[in-house]
Amino acid sequence: MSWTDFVTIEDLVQAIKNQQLTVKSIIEQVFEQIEQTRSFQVLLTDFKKEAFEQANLIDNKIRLQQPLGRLAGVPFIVKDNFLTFNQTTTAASHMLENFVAPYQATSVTKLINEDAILIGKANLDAYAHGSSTENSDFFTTKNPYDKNRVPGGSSGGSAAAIALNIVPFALGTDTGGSIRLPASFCNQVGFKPSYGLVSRSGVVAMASSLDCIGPITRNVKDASLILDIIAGQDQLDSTTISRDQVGYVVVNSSDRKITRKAKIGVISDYLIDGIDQKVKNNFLNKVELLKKAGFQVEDVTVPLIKYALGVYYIICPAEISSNLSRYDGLRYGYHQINVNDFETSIEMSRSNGFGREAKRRIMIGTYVLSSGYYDAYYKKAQQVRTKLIDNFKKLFKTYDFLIGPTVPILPFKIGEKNSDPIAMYLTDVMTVSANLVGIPAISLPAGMIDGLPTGFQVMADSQVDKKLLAFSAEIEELIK
Amino acid sequence: MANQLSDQDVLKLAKLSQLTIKSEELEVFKKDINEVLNLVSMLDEVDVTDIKPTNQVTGLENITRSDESIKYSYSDDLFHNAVKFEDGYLVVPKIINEN
Repeated sequence: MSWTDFVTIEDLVQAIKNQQLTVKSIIEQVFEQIEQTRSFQVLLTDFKKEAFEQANLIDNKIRLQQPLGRLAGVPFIVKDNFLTFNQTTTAASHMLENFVAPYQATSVTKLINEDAILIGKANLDAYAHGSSTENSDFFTTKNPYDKNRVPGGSSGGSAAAIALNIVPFALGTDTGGSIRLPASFCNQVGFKPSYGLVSRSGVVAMASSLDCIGPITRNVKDASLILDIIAGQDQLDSTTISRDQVGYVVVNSSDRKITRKAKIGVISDYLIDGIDQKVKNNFLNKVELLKKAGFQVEDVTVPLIKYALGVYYIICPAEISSNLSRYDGLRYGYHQINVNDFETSIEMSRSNGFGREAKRRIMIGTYVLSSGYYDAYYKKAQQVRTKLIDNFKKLFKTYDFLIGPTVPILPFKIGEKNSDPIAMYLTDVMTVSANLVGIPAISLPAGMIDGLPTGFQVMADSQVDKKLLAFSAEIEELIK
Repeated sequence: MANQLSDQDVLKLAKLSQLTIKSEELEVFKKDINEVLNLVSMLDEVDVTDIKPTNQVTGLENITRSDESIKYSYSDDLFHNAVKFEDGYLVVPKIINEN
């Protein structure tokens, strides 16, 4: 019996508790699958010895009928920008190649406290800057559906790990689409919660007003369970918001009945230009299915949405330049040896430790924050952000959910865009708004086009995460 | 049309960013940065008169916790990533010249 025989994590945990399969046998399968899928280059590190020790502990607990966590024996993977105690955390960068984490991300601790077993750390674009994992300073992960194509990014390793049946869930981070885009490219569910719902403590910072943490899973129910465990206020992250009293787990049909009356808006601005016709037609077919199923669906426009990418590529690099200024090569991180001058030592450490994309974003951020250009760029972007937020708030007075494709194109070929930063940035055009506005958004598998996966995005108002998950659970089979 | 950076601008920007750029990288960085500035110049057409800037989206203010020290059992681990650590201090290159 394999863990993949169980459709949901809840069923798997029940089977483990009933001793239908041992945790040890699950971990054996996991590492067998890791060997089988090596050529996809999904993981940066794995923790075989520790995972088997953990499995043994949990199997013993089961035998002795001791209390068990809600994820007893469930293996998982995190993106390598989550700090895991006493283990390397590289953010796929040369800068942190030898960094050993002296503490642990709150979200990881919460999962381990529920007896989940950490298997390894997944590849990403260095510092989560990118949409393909090609910016990883180590190697590019390959798309499970076509080895010549990218898995999406920046959480590409996490999404590929689920598609390749290595583990049932993984954590990723989403600053402008980095959970949803790879979930779309790898045919999985990717959920970005409301800003502040999951603690960012212990996650390598990218752009602090946009960064969110969330799960990549095989189905919506699993995503809701993982969110239920990791969500909530944390003293170590003062931007966290309180959790929903009723929790987040999508339970049964009573949850789903609510959504039948839901009013849905199609973001028509996404369908005008810059979108692959096949992606558009596939999406419109899914909209028809929703209408046939009795949902109220109307076209809407978000006047400011065409500026979202412009706002994002000012605010995001500005915050990156600030967050990455801490890397001096002295306290931790890559250190340039044999330099005797203090300033040169820092410059050389940063120049040799950061890759090209990080340097580009640091310089753009430094430019838009510099005194002569602050008002024209940074402040302007913050003002347009306010107008964009107003657009969305207004729509959410009438509509419960806003939908659109997740990415305007299909998974692209490795090497196709990595010499053209603008072409790469355009892949984020449909995902950045949710980060700028701070609202929850999910990418659901929406069927295959020419053998390649495509995604269907649903957004809801801030802190309406539970309802968004319930609605997504209701439509996920319909649009698959 | 957005501002376009010259070679000198890019070198100055690198210096401000505590980065050094090799001469063979200069052209590519200049091109890439200018393209991004072109992309974001789309915001020029948006009227933002009297619009307040958004710094954060939660609306939370003055989140505090009691100022108590908590014993951290792994204090030594905090320093094992430093290049050089002696007697409780980080050792860094000299900042001031002797003469």
